[in-house]
Amino acid sequence: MLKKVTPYLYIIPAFVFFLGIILVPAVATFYLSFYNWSGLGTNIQFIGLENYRAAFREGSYFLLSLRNNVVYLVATLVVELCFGLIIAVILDTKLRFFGMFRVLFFSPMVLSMMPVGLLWRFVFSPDVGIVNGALRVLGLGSLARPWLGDPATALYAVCLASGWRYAGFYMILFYAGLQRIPKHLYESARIDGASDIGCFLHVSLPLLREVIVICVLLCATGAFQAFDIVYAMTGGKPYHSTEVVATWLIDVAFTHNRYGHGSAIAVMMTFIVFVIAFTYLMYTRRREIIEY
Amino acid sequence: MKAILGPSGGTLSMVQTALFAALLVVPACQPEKEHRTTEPARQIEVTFAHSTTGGPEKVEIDRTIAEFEALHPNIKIKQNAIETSVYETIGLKALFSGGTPPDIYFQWGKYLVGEYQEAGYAADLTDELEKDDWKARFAPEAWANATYKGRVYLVPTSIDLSAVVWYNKTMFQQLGLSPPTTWTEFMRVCELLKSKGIVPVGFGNRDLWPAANWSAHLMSRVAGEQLYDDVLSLKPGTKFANDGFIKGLGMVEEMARLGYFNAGLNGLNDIEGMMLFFQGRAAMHPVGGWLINVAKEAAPQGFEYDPFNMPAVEGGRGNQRSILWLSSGYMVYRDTKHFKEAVEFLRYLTSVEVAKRFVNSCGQFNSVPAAITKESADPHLLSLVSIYRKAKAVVAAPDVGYGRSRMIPFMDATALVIGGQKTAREALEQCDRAIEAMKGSV
Repeated sequence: MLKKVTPYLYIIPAFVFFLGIILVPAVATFYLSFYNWSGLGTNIQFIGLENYRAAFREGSYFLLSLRNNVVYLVATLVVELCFGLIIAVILDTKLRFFGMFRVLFFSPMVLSMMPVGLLWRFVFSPDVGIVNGALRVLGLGSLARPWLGDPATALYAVCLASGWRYAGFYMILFYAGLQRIPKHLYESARIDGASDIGCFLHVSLPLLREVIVICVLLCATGAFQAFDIVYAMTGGKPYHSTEVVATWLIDVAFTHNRYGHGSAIAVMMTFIVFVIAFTYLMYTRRREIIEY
Repeated sequence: MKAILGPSGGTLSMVQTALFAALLVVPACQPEKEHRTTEPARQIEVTFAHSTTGGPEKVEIDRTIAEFEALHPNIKIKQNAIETSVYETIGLKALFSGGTPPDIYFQWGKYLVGEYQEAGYAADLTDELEKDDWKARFAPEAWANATYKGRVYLVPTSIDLSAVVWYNKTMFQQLGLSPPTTWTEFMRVCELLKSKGIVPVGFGNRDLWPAANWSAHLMSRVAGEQLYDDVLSLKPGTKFANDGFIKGLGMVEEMARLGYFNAGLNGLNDIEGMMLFFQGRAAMHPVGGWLINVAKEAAPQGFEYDPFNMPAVEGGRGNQRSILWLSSGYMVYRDTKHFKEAVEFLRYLTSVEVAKRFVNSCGQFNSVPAAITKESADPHLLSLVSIYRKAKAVVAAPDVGYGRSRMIPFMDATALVIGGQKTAREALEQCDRAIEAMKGSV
């Protein structure tokens, strides 16, 4: 009997934390999503599904922010994953000083997002920014623009900053994946006449499939949770052109004082992330493991 | 008793496991140590939440608290300084809803005073202010935004003009310009500055309120104070897309079309907007009196600047000598256990001697008139006082005056117009639709 109970005693501290930090707030958020509450006082009214309906009405930027999350996802997939993969493949050639480059590419990961956001605000500053400064020096002054103040470019500028931060992280994952591939597979491919690109396409890429799937999942869930870099660089502005679901949620709850509506958005966002994670789990159950 | 494997490879009995778990809990449950009962007098801790995290004002707050504590050894003032934007949105609310309400807290006047009173967070200070002529210290105008339903809930410390136009004196002198008094003159000045390659009006409007405040004042000048108040109070039957508002915001639209604002202004924050002005890249910068405080640290040595009020709009229905203002101060938590001590501290904070220091070192437009003298005040502050004294009407700022939560669609509309994205009519019609849609879930 005691033997059966003891393991449960050990998980009590972790469970209490999980209960207090994850479960109770999650249930409270779901509960609050059916109520109207300004965040002040105890005046709270049940309004059914009204908070969910409000997300699709005039004046709500929920759908726009969801679309921006998808754009952010696609852009970060391209910038972070592709760039990370390319750098990993180059570093895998093990030329001199590449170890140093590996550290350099990974170094942005040790910075927290707020300083990264402030740094990139300076890079994109319309007057004193490095980007516009470089364009003017190169005689391309006509291309200089307020990158973060122009709704046509602001979101892409944020994606670029995010890519800079995370590309090194994915590089490390891909690099680790490449290290696991036996060299004799490349040698066999070369004997069969494969070029460098052929080796990459027909040996590296298929054998990195598992790593790629993990990276895509991390990227996708991360994209739907994007908040800090957007908050630091644009705050969802200008004209909500960089609004993502998390910044809109914060705005709705804490600036508009619509805690119930903010909770409804949080519930919908959680559902979206859950669907992505569930799809991934289904995929991993069915996948064929490549032994090598 | 059966044993289980311990973390270091040894064995750990059930009893030991339970004892180990209890050890983690016991310290938190221990009674207060006995030596506390031997203290000569119990020290009262008064919690004080505000949004001044740095600069000369924080230095003065720290100094005032130290002086007060020296005078009242049994009172300890515990500060909780939260950065302004966080304080305004999440910070203060979190303190109340999180069960740690501050005894004294900073608050902006008018709308928020009523909101916090309705929520049960505001102590009635009316009777306290009548004692010892405390109320007589303050400018009579300060009470308008400190009162809710005839009772006073806020001790006003600052009455600030929120949207005067600061101009670069040196630049104006070099170009032979003088501060414009009418809108036609203002537009002429803008055109001349633009022709010289200078940005006439610099803004940092990422947080929406800078352009919203200034545009709102202009709209009140065109539409009249009563209509302005009715519309922003969301009075039934009124709408933002009325002729007066469309005309007023249309004047901002024209300025945007003529290129009188800096490019990308909606991507810059208010401080970046100020920096454009301090660095001489923009000749004028509409913002409140708090610019004086920022200029003390951020403006280059010898930078000369001064304010002028919104120029008179020819044919406007409003009072053309109105000012846009906001007042702020401190409120006391309704259920505080230290009401007497909190009031005592606020009395000290608003004494003439202390107020003078805030005027002198921070350029604060203090609500205690005796504190603002030619000797104590910054010359820029005296210019603001001069505008204030000439004013014939007052208009409240849209964000703090009417509730930022309800004014977001209006602030969005002004941002769209000043950024050249929509016409005044389109933006205000969109604002009306958004406010209508919000009603269901607010």
